[in-house]
Amino acid sequence: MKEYRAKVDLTQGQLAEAVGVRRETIVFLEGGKYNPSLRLAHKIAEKLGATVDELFDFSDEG
Amino acid sequence: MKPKKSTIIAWAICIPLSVLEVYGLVRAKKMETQSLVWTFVTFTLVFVIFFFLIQRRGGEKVEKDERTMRIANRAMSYSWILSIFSVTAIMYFEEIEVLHMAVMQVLTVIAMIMSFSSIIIRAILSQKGDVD
Repeated sequence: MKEYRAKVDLTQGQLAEAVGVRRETIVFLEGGKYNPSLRLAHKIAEKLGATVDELFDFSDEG
Repeated sequence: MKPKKSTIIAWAICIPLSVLEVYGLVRAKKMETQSLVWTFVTFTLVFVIFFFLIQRRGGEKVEKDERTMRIANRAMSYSWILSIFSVTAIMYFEEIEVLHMAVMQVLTVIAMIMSFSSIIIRAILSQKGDVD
């Protein structure tokens, strides 16, 4: 997710504001410590120009 | 980062109330009902203001999102369960005559358990990032 964010040249704060969450939430998402809702995952994917599957790994190991 | 005006106001109210609360606790060493009432009231006020502070910390535009809401809800649930266990324990100890507490004392203890546990559990879960 960090790479995709860098590609569109957005900071964590800017992405957080764009999708309506706190910056901490983006930090935890990038660190793989938070499982987002489908709605949030979709919003982020849309903003970063990627698919949900490309951004997040929902397998048990991930 | 310059603190928000609301944060300064909240602290200005919170600190004197905390002092008042400690005073109440000191006076309540003999568990006088009057001091316990004060402790109970001030503690509830401190908790409410502190909760307000936690919500607004960091100065971000978004104050709460799905993650913080999920954490807050889980913290409240755990806190509620802990309180139920505490009431059960108090009732049990009362029944086996190990402990004798007045209604006001029980209320104060429960208020403290509920307030402290929800703040602490919330802090722990926030540190962790998510709830399972």
